[in-house]
Amino acid sequence: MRAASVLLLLALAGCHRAEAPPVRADGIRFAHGPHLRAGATCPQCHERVVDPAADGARARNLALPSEAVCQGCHTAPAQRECGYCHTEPRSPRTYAPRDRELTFSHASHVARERGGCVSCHAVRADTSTVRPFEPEIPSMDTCASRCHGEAMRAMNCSLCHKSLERYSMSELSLVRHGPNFARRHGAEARASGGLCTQCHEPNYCARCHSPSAGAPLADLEPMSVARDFVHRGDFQARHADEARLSQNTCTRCHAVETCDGCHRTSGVGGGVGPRAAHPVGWLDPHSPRSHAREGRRNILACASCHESDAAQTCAPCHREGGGAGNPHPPGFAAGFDRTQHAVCLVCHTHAP
Amino acid sequence: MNAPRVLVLAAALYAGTAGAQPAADGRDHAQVRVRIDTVFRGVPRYVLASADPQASAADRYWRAVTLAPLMARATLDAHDLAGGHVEAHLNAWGAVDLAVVDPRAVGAGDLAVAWARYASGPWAVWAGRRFVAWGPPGGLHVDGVGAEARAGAFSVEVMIGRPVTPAYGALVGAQGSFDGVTASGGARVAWSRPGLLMASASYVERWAQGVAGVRAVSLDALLTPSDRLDVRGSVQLDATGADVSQASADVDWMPASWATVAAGYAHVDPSKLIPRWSILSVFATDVFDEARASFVWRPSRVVSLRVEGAGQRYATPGSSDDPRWGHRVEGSLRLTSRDRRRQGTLSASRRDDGVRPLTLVRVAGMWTVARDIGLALEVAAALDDDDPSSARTSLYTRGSVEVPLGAGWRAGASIDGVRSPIATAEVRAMAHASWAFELGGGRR
Repeated sequence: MRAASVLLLLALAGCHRAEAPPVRADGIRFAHGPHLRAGATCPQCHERVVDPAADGARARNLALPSEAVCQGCHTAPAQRECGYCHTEPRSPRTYAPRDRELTFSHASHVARERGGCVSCHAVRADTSTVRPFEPEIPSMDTCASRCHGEAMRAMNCSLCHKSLERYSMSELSLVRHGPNFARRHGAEARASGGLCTQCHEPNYCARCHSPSAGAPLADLEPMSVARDFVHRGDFQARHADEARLSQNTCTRCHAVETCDGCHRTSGVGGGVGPRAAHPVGWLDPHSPRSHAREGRRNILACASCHESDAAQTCAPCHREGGGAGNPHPPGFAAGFDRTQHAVCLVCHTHAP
Repeated sequence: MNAPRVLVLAAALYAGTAGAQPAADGRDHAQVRVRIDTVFRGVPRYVLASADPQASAADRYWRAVTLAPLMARATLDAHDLAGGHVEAHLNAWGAVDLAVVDPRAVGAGDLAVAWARYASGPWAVWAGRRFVAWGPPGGLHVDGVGAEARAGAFSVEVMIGRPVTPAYGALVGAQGSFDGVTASGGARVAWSRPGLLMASASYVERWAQGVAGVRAVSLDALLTPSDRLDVRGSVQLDATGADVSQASADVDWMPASWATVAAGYAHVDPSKLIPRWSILSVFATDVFDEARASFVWRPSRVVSLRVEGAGQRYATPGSSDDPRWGHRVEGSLRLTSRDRRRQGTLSASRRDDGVRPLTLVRVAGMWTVARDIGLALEVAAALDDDDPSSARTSLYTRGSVEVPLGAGWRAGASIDGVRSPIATAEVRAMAHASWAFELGGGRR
């Protein structure tokens, strides 16, 4: 008997759960057609579309009318019932806030279109079916085909989009940052730098390309562990190897002062001498550590410290009559008049 | 950086932003982004002691000097000022060494970027210190003025100014900018239809010490025959000697949304990249050529696997010496949760220039836990392939935490453990705080 009672209670509880309506989000029953045929104009309900104060480039103004606007016409008691408009009258809500991350001004568009809202929103006046309201927001094609085609072709996304972060990479195929983009972004920036600035501030580029070396990016962005920062980890300890293995990388951003400033204060700069960084055998042309061998491997490594003082460091030995031999590559042609050019005159004191 | 240059830059920036008034129709569409970062570190700086003057740097005694640099950096990006005509950008930093290791060099600072641009219709002019993406390799950092004009897809830019190098900010001996008179100027023409073809040609001269050290002609193009295929090419000519200083060509093909195949070629003649005011620019050196290919597999939106291989050739043109051959093999796995609150990466790279091979391995992850607190962990090793136990091998690990404080503030701390050729074993600490303010959205 007790078991039967428990089963009965469980069955009733189950029936009760089965009968309970699912909780749904509230919506608004609405049709544009009857309102338009009744003579309503768009701004009459969507009054904020022509109100610059309620608009603005960053406003989330969907221009939807408030309940008070509706009740200005719908005065009958039946029309004042929640269920007249709300799909969930037991829990009526206002419109869900939506930020489409767009920079958009209804007011300026209405002024240009002379009030022709339907030219963008394509609301059909013959729509008379009462159905849950679905705002007919213009697609990007609508914007492009009517007025903004030039901006679209120029990838001027920021004209409308505050951010593209919510789009997938396939949706952004035209501006995708594919794999290894950090290594190849330079070519794209050079071909069309304006494309980068559609999404990125100039300071975004300057964070790497105008190296204020007070702190590397990896220190300023410690959470961005998945990004391809150049000076990550203990870069200082291996920077000599990195410089040698990555041709031309250092001199793209750093000038001689960068190397000199650190090397001199650390005691590893200052040219060939007692406090130099160079190994024993550096000046011996037959040594495996010969500077000639290292210089041919990567002259940029030499230039990273000696670009400005090479006339004092290299020329005394490699100048004409210096005894250290001709440093030029085979078949060298300067491309300029060596009797006039200041660089030539460092070594070639006697014009040919 | 001397005071007159600061004043000139400040005047240029002020002139650009002085008209930052709301638009005439009463709607202020200005977009402003401000970010301030403050970093405080306790780090050793290694100084080479000259106990044995004849020994090489690797064999001599290093002595550690503890520094306590406090560094602050501010960036500002403002758009649509003065009725939408003006944009202005500022990036400045300053630092002081609280340990006062050297009383003569306690502080350093610089303006990295300070420029403003006025645009009206197809015309625009700018002035100040900025980074220009075109010109010599890596672009040009310059105090200057420029103008731009656009007609549909076609655009022309001209620029003239003085190249600048930011002061070195590692404290204890901040270095100034270039000495002597330097100047740079150039022009660029471009045709841009993103999604189809973007192409540009530019010419830049750079003068110093009475010599035109750089005369660079650059040709760059990006062709997109379809949204699954990119073809890029870039050639830079040293106009002084009519030589190719560097060139590259790459093809990216995305046969499906889950795969990308890429191949490329690069050529660099390092001596042609050294300004002609240095005699090193006429020294013999190896020319570098690289052929590369890569494959990326994205089985889902949260996983990306990349492998890349490259062969390299080093040879001195005209020399009878045999060329050296090198290679590069890399692989990486990246995991990113759909909400981007968790990220992880595993990468390995072996590089060999035919002289001294090196293998880099790195594992790192970031998690966002309760209350948006971020945790990050990173472990990396650079291995000397000839002898992994040698002093050249370095190990690095970092643990970080970052906490949002509200009102745009974030604060965090990091602890590093390092073993490197110059640091047998050490621990470093860092604390950072950042504040970001945004008005009107805008770019990142």
